[in-house]
Amino acid sequence: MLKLIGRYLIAAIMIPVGVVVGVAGWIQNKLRQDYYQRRFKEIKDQIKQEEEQAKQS
Amino acid sequence: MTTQNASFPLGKKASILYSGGTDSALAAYLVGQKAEEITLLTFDPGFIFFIENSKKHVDLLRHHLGADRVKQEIIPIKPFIDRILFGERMHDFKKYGFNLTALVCLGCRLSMHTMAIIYNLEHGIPVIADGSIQKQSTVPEQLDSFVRRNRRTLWWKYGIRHFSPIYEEDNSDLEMDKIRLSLKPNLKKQFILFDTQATCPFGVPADVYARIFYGELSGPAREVDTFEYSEQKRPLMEAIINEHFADKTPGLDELIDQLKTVASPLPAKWEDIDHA
Repeated sequence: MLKLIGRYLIAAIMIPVGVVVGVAGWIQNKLRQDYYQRRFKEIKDQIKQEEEQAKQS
Repeated sequence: MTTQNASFPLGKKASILYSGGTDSALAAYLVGQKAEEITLLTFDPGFIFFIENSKKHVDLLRHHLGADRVKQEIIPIKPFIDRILFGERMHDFKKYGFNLTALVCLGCRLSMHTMAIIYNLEHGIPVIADGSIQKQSTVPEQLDSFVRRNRRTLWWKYGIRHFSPIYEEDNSDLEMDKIRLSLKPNLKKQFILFDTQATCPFGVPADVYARIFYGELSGPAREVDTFEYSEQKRPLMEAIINEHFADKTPGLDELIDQLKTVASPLPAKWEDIDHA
């Protein structure tokens, strides 16, 4: 019983924390949108190259 | 180059990254059908509650696979967590900002991987599996791109073949019921507070963050951060492994060679491996 209460207490506190931080994170990611788009393309190219190299070896 | 229908490698041992939940228990069951001995690796990062819950499915696995074929190890990894997850916290917060809420789980997972590599090398275990599933790729550590790249650039670097035997699985609950491995139906629907695994206070907001805010709503942020975070932590992980084996005989290179020798004939897909 104590265990169950403990688990639900953790959820009751931490779920709202997740929502509040999530909204803040969403705003942050919108502001960094250009950076993320550019890096995403670079990373995709890098992984593609690595996979081709791995196939060859 | 892969070999179809290869037999399980010498030693016939495998380890499983095991939380005790339905996914890792189902993965353990599938691996246990092909390996002669499985070791369930459960890690204690030092900040989770009710880790003893992870033992609940172990008895059922022993019943199905044989008591002497299933071993569970609960291993503390707090020193690794302190270095990998918390060691660069100011830098991490500046770089990733609020996204660190979800990346905490990736840092924890990388600490587990570091310990698992050490364990497998020390015990001569050439195969490791986990219960990653595509359906849960909302969380960074189960992203397809991360799982695949990690397999190539981390596990295999240390001579270990990594498999996710249920990656395509849509409903591990149903599968567990079918093979009578489930303690009760719909375990997965318990969402964050599971009966058969530990409760992590960081895991709760991380899951909310990853599921709702860190996916399509944020564009490619999750993919980029996951790549950069794991690349950033790689040297730390390698340093920990090197330090661990620094004064040991046989040395790290020798252990890696031994594992690579037995693991290299294995096919890329778990389904293509023969039963033991």
